[in-house]
Amino acid sequence: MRDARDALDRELLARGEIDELLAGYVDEIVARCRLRCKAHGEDVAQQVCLRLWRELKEGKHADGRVLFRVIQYKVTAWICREFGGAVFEGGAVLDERDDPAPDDFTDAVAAHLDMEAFVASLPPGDGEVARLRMLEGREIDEIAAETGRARNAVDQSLWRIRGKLREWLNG
Amino acid sequence: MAERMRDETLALLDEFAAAWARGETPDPRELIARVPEAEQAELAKALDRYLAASPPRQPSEASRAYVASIAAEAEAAAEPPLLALRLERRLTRDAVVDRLMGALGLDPGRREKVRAYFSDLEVGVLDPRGVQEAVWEALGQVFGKDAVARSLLQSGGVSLSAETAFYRLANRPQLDLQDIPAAAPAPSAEPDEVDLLFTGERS
Repeated sequence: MRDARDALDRELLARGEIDELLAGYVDEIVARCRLRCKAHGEDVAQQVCLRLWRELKEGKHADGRVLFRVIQYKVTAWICREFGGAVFEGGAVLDERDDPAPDDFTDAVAAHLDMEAFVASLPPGDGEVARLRMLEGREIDEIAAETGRARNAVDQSLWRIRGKLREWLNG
Repeated sequence: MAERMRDETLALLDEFAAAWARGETPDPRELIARVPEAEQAELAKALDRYLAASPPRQPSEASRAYVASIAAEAEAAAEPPLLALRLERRLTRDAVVDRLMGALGLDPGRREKVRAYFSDLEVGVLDPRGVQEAVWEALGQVFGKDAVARSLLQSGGVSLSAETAFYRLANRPQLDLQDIPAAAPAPSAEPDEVDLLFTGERS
């Protein structure tokens, strides 16, 4: 799904449909700004979107050299930091604003972290529960009904999944 | 990072993930407020990474509308076309005014008034519809006729409103436009040729 999205992003960029491209990332940007900048989250998200829109309008990322989801991730981190927000990157790799090239951190976060890959890495039983819960957003009772398991068995599966998710996000 | 997160905190991460997967936009700050302070930073970091890892979303109508408002703000905040043209030509405002004075054949005693009108015109707070053809022709002599027409066309015309002017201010105050004082009343002196040139009326 990610590859398809990256391909779609490139198409939108090539066609100059920058509003549509950016709209696909607004929810993520706003949520991450709220996490990092708390009470100022919405204002900072506006600054992030404004900067991205202007850069796209100027054709700055038109060559498609860097995936747009990596660009938006990095720009969000930069601007949150400028506004005194939390820094989750160790402060090491986000200094050069004008060169949004991938680096070790953004490779890891924006390219390698993929919930679908996480779900696929789980044993089949837990994988099915994780898919229904974390990719489809199903309620626990629904998952029990869908998989034919007892509610308690789904709870236990989710307990294992959360532990693995914690390690995976940390890795 | 997560060794300090308890199962209850991880359950909140799971709750957020499920809601996000359903296409909802839960506010992560509300979840963070529900955990002990010692775990808040770790949960925030985990949520941040989850968001980067989550499957891409289709743009909603709300997100499209949000971007449309961003685009409108960016365009409104752009430099007004006449100002951009003057800066591009590396001309001072006084230099333009001097040439306008000559091209329009105005009395040197009117210079300050012309300067004030031109300043308003170039930053977009003077309605260009009232500006007489003679002024546009004079500006064409200064900047190049095609350049003036092109810059106005590309920008959709000179911006008009006080609201637009406020957009250009860094850290602009959040004012209700109704609170913006009305323009200063015209001086009591009789309107003159300069008023006519820039407003189209002897107001």
